[in-house]
Amino acid sequence: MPLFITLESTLVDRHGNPILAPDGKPVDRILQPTHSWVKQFPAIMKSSMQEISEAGVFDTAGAARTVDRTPDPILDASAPAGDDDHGILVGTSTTAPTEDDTNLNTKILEGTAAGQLEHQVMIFPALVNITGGRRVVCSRQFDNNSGGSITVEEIGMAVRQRTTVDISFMLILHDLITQIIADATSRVFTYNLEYLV
Amino acid sequence: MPIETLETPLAYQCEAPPLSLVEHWWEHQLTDLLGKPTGPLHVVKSNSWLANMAAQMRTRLSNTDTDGLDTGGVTRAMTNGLTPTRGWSLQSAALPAGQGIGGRGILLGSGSSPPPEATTDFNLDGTIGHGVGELLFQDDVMHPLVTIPGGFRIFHEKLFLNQSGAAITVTNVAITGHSNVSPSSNLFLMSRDNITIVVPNDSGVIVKFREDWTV
Repeated sequence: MPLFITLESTLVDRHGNPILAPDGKPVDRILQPTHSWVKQFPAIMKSSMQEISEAGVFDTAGAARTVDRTPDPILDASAPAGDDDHGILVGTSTTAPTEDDTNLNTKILEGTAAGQLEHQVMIFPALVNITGGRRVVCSRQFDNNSGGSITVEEIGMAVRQRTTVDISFMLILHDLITQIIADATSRVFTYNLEYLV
Repeated sequence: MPIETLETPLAYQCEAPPLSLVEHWWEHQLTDLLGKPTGPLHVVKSNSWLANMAAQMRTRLSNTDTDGLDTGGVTRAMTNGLTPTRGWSLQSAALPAGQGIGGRGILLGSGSSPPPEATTDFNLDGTIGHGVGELLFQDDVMHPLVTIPGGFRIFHEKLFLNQSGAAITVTNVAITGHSNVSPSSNLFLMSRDNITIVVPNDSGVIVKFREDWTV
């Protein structure tokens, strides 16, 4: 079987705990299949598989870079709190993603000003045993302290990646998702990568 | 011993049908001893990414150690921060006859080949070695990234020559990668499928692993 990837969005409290209905289920959780790898992901994978650099791969600023396979970081999405350069990122554009995308179209920046969200640390729980395989979970909580409601329309994941000239940020996933984050509320977005036999 | 209840994959819980965005195929074709095709090309859908693939992906994305099962069946923590970085490293050069099994990249087996099992498979079934009396492994070759409709293709191949004096029956094929574990690196089985290929004496077989990323 192939690799499946899904995207979750869950309304949470400020501690990251899902807000539950009386029946014990999250009051606001969606789960959807994703649609969009972007070219940087297979290019980085190829570089790592082949142990060779890969030219013509674009960073999030749109600059062409040559991906190097050593030393680390390779595909590092472990962004700290307050970092809006890598890890899971969100934006407000409704433009359909394409395989050539190098960044979100209209990224929501870190902060508490109007239209901004606070990015919490990326979370990677232990691998999950699932029927027929394993799940890699990548999550991030976003807190809205902007004073107004914010509608997320796009989401992606970017990584820190070694290149021949620097450590670049590179987008690897890009999807559309519509989620309203009211002021003074929080939401967790999760990419699930499921490897199945 | 408690029985572990496994979660259903989230891909099967979506209202929309799950989409396979990265699909894998094996291709194989008999050749002469120079690698020139002599038979039809066979294309077989691959059914397996094993748990080690997920472990390496988590290791990279999270920048933290993740346990995998090496080809000796030993649990080892895949790790980051070592130089050179080895993640899914598949490249393996041809070895002189008699120098072991070649180790990584595309490998073949001749055992009874039970169905692939994601979390317990750690090596080929009946690994075919490299050398006289077995198969002679040539270089692993990775082709440039190919643009295909809706995405990209990773293409990896390896030629095996049979000068053993008798036909050799391959029953399972696999991808094995080199990954960092402290303090160096180990071999990890990443994918295994059951495919039967009869390689006559004085001939070869070229085996290709194709990975299509589409959106």
